Amino acid sequence: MPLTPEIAFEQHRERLLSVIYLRMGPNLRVRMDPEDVLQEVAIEAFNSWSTLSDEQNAGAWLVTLARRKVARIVRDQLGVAARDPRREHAIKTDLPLADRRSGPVTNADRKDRLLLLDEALQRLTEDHREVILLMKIEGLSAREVGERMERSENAVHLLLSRALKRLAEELKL
Amino acid sequence: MNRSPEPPDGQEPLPIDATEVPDATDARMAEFLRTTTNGAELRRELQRDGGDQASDLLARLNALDFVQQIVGSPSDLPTRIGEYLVKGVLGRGGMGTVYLGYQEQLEREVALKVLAPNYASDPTMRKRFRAEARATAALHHRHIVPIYDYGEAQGMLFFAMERVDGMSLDKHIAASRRLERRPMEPLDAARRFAGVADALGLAHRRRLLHRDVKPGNILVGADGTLALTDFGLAMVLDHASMRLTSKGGGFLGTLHYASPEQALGAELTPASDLYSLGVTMFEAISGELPIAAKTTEALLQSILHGTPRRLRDVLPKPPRDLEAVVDKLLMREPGDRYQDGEALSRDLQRIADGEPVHIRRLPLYVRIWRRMRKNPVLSGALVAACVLLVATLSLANVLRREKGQSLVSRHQNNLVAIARDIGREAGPPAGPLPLLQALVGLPAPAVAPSPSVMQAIDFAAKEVPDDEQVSALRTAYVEAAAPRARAFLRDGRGFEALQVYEAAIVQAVAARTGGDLAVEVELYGLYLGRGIANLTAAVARPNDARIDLALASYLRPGATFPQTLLTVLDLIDSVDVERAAAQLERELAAPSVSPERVRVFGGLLWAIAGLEPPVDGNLMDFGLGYQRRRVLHGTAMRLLSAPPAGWAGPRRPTGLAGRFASACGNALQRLGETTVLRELAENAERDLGNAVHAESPLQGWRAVLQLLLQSRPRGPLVDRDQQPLAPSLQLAAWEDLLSLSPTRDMMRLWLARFEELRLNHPGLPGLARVAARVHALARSDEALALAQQWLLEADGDPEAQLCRMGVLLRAGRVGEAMDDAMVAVQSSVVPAATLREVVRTCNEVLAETPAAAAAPVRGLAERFRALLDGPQAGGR
Repeated sequence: MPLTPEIAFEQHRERLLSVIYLRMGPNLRVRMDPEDVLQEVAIEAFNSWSTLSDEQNAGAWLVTLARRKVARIVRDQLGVAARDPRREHAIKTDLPLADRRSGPVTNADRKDRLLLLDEALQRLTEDHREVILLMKIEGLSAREVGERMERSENAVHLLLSRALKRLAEELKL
Repeated sequence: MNRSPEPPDGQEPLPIDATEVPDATDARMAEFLRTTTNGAELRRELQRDGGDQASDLLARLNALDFVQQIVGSPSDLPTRIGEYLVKGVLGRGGMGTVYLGYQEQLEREVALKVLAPNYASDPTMRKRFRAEARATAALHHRHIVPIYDYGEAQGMLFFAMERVDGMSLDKHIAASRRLERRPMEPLDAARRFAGVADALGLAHRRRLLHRDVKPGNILVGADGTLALTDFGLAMVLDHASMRLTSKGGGFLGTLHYASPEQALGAELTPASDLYSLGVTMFEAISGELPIAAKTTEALLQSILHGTPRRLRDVLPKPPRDLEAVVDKLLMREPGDRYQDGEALSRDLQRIADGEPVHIRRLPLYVRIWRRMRKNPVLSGALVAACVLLVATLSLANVLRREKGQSLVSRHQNNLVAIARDIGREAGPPAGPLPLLQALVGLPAPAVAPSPSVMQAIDFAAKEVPDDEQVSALRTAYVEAAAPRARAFLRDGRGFEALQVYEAAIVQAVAARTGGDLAVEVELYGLYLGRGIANLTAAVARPNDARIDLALASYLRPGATFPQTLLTVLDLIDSVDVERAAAQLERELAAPSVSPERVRVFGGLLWAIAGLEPPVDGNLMDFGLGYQRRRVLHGTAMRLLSAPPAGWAGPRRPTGLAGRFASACGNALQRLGETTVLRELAENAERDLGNAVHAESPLQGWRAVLQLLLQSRPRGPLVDRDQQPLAPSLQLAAWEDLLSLSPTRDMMRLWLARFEELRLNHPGLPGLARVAARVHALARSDEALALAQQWLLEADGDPEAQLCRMGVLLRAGRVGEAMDDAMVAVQSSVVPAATLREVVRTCNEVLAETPAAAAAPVRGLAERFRALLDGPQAGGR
């Protein structure tokens, strides 16, 4: 059975939404609903499905689409090209942003968790945040993360290990 | 915040060893991360170990789990549901998840809709689900997604549907919105929705409602065809998905597509599904919703009371016919929408094929009228908009004159203008002002119809001679609604008027097709007339009057007359009568209120207060306490520059009641002349039967006649059929009898019968008043005690004081009598009238008193007469 874009999308829906949500950051989320951005990603995926070389990579491919989408939005919305929106507004992160929690119950819980995670991640150092985002949210391999962060694979695992410790502290787990 | 010593953020990644020296725990965790993804084993191990390192590692594992749970993983999917192999997720919604399933035996893909576990666990829900699935499975239509199978497996309720290669319409719409494209071209939409409409038609013929038509339940196939899915599922899940969950709670379903009746939780009809389809079409064509609001409450409010947008509000040039179809689907009244899917489908197909469509649309002026009706507050703004519209249309007409269309559209302009003027005109067209005057006993000048409306009608009549609409409108507006009823009402024959109005209303309502402005104007007059008839003494049903006035007010939002009358009725019942009176005064102080109307309402209050009798009123008696009457009287006096008529002696019944009184008065004079009495009684009987509502207090006169005809010593007062009257009517009869001023001897004759009523029904409202007067007249031993009783209950009514004064005077207690007389005069709203009454009582007592004992009484009479004649007491 061939993999259709709908199925691929649905399989990775939660992951994609998390990527978009966390990459957008609180300031951008006020302006745009991550769910809407997700829809846009879906459309892009449907339209450019043919460019996917290997179905095995569908997840990574979709994540890349989502990341690019957020990057474009950041550029359009904030007029800041190729810069991380979080850093621009990192100071404001303690503000509560819980007023978007309406809607079906099934989503509310996940959104609450996303919000909790986002707030905790904001309080980590950039390295720690990035390693969690790249490896555990976006699903990159240690090798890929190492290339991006210019570290060895071992160092990436160590970094993630320490980042998780900090995250556990922030989440009071 | 609990920050551990960390290096500052930097663009350049620092060598890890330079900043963070990994300890043994870090290393162990890193090793775990590198080698495995399953934390269960490590977790067990750590839980056995205990210790600092173990708890640190456990915390990191928990953090990892937290992150991974958020991201989710494709491996969450069940591998099998029933006989179906699960191959992926097609969608998720509030009701559950749709999986892509594979049926091995038939080698086909299916969509598996699995209900969320919280629904599936309810046994009644399971039953309904099964029933609905069966009904839907029997629907075979190209535009309904067929159901293959339903079942239960691993505690899950699911059904298998055809797998449609495509996406749901809501996703399609959202996608288009993002790309700032319109989801569908209008004509294309018409063609595609024609199929959906036909599908709904089929389901409706099978008595199956969809109940949740919305883009999310319409699938767009690969070739663009639309197919309905989730039939009747809303029925199964209604309490959870289609209702507001609780106060302030979210709406789990889709209120945006709910018809007004659905939003209200009222019963649904096929027209409700068609409304939802209308919203869906609107969105599919324009990408926007016809009714949008930020909060659920606001949305609900808009659905119930607002006006949906039209396609032209969101699209540059929508096809006119298509817009008309959508307008018709979005009508608030289910009866105004399409009634079946097939008709809608036919129209949509014709639009798609470029053929003309004949949609029975409500005429423009009726729509304007209704809009005004929906929102009286807005109607002012709307009137302004109408003026603008008319101006624009007129200009357009001048430009289009040659095109032959101009006469028709100009004619429509005329009707718009008339509708506008009638709606705007604050007063009643012709009738009710004089009607109310007749009710109150004021002279009734003819009130000319509003010149602006007449001008508009005349203009229209000149433009389009012999037009039925215009002449019907003129008749309804200018001529009396049910002239016969008006004649009756002017004559005080409220019950007969009521019957005529009722018949006319039945007729008008039957003739009402929803599109005839003339009928609506006529109905307004009829309801208003019936409302006033309900306030006559012959009917005396104020609650019915309220309903009629509210109906009239609904039919003509611009008219304030019914509303002011309602305010007066509220005033009568109001707990805080002073505040309510102030409210009424404010209402009448508005600049738009004519002096004539102020005078009429002043007269009405004055008559309700009943402290000074009108010359000839037919108003019912509201049975108000004295203090309340005082307030009403005070308000009336402020509204009226001069009282409508002067004091004309003791209070006498007027209007229809007056006629009964005079008939009975005649009978009283000829007591014993049986033949004459019988004739009088028969005449009055005819009137009572025909002219008085069976429950009106005027029916008491019937008992008076019976009493006069057959002087029985005992037994309750009876009606013509010798059946005992209701105690309240009996009491009314005794009061009527008192108003005839019978002699002391007559009253003594009847006293035993009255005493039966008094002792058997001690709690009867108004009993103290009647009892005191009856006993005073009969000069009974109990007269003083009963007069005192009345005084206690009289709320400061000077009449009670005067009653006791008379009794005291006859007992020779002149000093106390004089005190009572003084109090009565001082507390009276009309002191001169009370003074006259004192003097009259004195003279009456003098006539009965032996000359030897008369001196003190005469002295008293002299003093009060002097007061009456004195310059200071002569005026009011």
